[in-house]
Amino acid sequence: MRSASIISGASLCKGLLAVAILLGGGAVTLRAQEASRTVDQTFQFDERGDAKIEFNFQLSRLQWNRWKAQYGDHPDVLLRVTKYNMAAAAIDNFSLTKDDTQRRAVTRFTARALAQYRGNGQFEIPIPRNIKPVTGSGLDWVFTSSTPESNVSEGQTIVNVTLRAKLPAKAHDAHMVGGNDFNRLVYSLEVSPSKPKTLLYSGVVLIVAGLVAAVRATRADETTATHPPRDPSRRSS
Amino acid sequence: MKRRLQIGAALLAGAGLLCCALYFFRGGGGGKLTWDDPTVRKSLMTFGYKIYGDPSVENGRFFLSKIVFHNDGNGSVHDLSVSYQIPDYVSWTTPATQSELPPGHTLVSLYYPQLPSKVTQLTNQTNATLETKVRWANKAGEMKEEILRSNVILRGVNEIEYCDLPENELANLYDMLSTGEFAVAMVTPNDPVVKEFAAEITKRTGGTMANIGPHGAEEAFQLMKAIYDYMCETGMRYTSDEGIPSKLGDISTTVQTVRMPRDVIITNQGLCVELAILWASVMEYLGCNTSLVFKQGHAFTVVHTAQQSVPIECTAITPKAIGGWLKALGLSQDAAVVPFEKAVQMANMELSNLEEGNEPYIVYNVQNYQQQGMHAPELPSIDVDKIKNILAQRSNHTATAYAQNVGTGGNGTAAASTQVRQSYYRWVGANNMASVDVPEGWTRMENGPVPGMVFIAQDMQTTLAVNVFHYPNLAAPIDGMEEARRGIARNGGRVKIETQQQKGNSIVYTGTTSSRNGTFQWVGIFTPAQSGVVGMFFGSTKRYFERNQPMMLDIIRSARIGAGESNNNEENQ
Repeated sequence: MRSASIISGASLCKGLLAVAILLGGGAVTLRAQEASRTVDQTFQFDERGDAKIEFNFQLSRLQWNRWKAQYGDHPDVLLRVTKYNMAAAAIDNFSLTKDDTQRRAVTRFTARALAQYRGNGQFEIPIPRNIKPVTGSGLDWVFTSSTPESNVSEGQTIVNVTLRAKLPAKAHDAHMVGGNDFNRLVYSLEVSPSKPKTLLYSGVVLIVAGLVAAVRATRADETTATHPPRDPSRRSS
Repeated sequence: MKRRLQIGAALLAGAGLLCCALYFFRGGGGGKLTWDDPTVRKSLMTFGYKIYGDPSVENGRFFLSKIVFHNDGNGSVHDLSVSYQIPDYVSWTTPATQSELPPGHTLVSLYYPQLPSKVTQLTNQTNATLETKVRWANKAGEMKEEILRSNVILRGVNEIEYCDLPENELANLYDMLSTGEFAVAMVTPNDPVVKEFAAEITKRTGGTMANIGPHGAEEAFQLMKAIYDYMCETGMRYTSDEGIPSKLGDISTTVQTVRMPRDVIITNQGLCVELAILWASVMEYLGCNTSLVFKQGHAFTVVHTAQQSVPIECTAITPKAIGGWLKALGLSQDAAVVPFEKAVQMANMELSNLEEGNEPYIVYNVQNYQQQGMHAPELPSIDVDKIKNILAQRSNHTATAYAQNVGTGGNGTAAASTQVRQSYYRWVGANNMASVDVPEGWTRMENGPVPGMVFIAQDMQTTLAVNVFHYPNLAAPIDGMEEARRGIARNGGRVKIETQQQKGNSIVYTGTTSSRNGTFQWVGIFTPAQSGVVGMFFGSTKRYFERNQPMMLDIIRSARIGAGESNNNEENQ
């Protein structure tokens, strides 16, 4: 029996299909031709492992018409497909911006728990094996993938996807770890403390300030005790 | 001054202590675990049980359950674990534990059930329950536990649901086929029955076309033609059936009973989607790359090579199924057979219509989806020898098989030089354009009750019979067959053509005739002659057809039809 996967494969590429599949089916060449297009995807992770995601792509005229008919004019369907493709995350704040003159579209949304917290300040982002790292160190990582998509009219189109993962500013020790189904981008980050330390720090500061005030009060008492008597002659003058 | 400082110091210290107290006793409280209502699939297609168990299929979208946990508290939630069971099918899974869920963090728990293969033994839908056990440590460190329950329907093994969306989400074909790709899991190229079926076909092509690979466009085309012709000749039929609309909670779905390719092969008939899946299975087994194309209410197959893609309208094996297309294909409304090339042309026209009309359709590439994990279930073991026998018997009764025997005359010599065998009677007629040898003991009659019928001979014991027709005013064999059919219909018989095969100028048919006297099974041969068309039927009651085969083939071999035989007949007479 296989154990239940409480944290299962959400991954960087899982929103890819929402823009890659124009006809909703698998890759197929019904009339042999080959073209390519690009999709830029940016994933900005926060300290909780949630990601703000932006997909940016431009299509040919025919592709645009098809994409609009199926998704572009139906953002609700695009959201549904995005949820399918990123099953292991919780999708919120979805929006779609279209520019018909440039045949360009941008989708933005939040994927909660896309980076999975493993405890002890360790986070993991599953990366499918077909997504290859290009550059990466510190907080910025770049990956690419090429995926064929179905397009009966234009034949096979290769979708070249560039994925940029931006880790939280305080993340450190980011590195790739190989795996069977997925590779993983692992990083460390001190998670938000479980108690609001501002309150604690404020309390300490106030106590210290109180102590300082008390000390000064004590000193003021001493200063008063050693003050020389006034000169009566100066008073008369 | 001193007093003011003392008061200030006291106030500051008091405020500081208060902050610290709040921090320790209030602000730093425990976590507060919340979760949305779990998203649980209403039903599972048991033939696709492997798909639900594989998180890598389509990015994990076919989970059974999804729960989004969130920590709304100020402290961490500790030791959060989730486990699942489906009583009678899956026992409690090993809990996966999240040691800490910090405040504000989200955790998504997905369940991909490892269902046992026994679920494929379910032939009808069966109710099951998904139980989800959630455990976590509360603020005081005590473990809390909740068990959630959801009903799940396990579909019968041949039931496919094309859609898993709520009714108010359905707007177009893409919605209606939100789970249509499961059909790919029914493509079974490695099923021994499919292999035997493919072997029977490649045997007819000399076996040279097996494993043609993805590059041989011409070879693939010829192989497709061989498959199509084989289906036509062995009487494979398209049978119509609509999916049954079904409603599960707020999920509206089209449920259809779809049999595996092996069942289509054995019963020799199938729905459009069943035939499409069979085509994909056979072509994939033979090394080709295929796709299933779904449009509104219909499915067909596309075979890919490096050079081209060839769509095939699988239902064209039954001309009545494509009645509306026959005219567009240049065929008559009562065409007995739609040639392979026309079936390809029709599928191309369908694709073009979809493109030009901007109508929705979906292409599922079999290999792509199967590589993603859309695997077929384990199939029950089957007696392969029995399948071989069924297929061999079917092949023997094809028009092609009979066509190979027509007019060979036993030793292959012309009738003129062939002596009539002892105890046989040679009938020669139709202006000396036809001859056939029948045993002398048979009952014989010139000019039967049906217009154009010029000779009848029948063995009253075995019911084996020969009928000869002559239509002096017709030119095409197909017209001769139609005229005979009409004549028989006027006499109360219903002729059903099952297969037809061109052999030179002749057409060889197989079929049945039903009347109040029972059902006769026959082989018919129509040939253009110097004057008109001559046709001969050989057959018997369906019950005795199989045992009469040797005798019938012997008589078929003796038959001569056409201009070439006129001189021979004259000499004989």
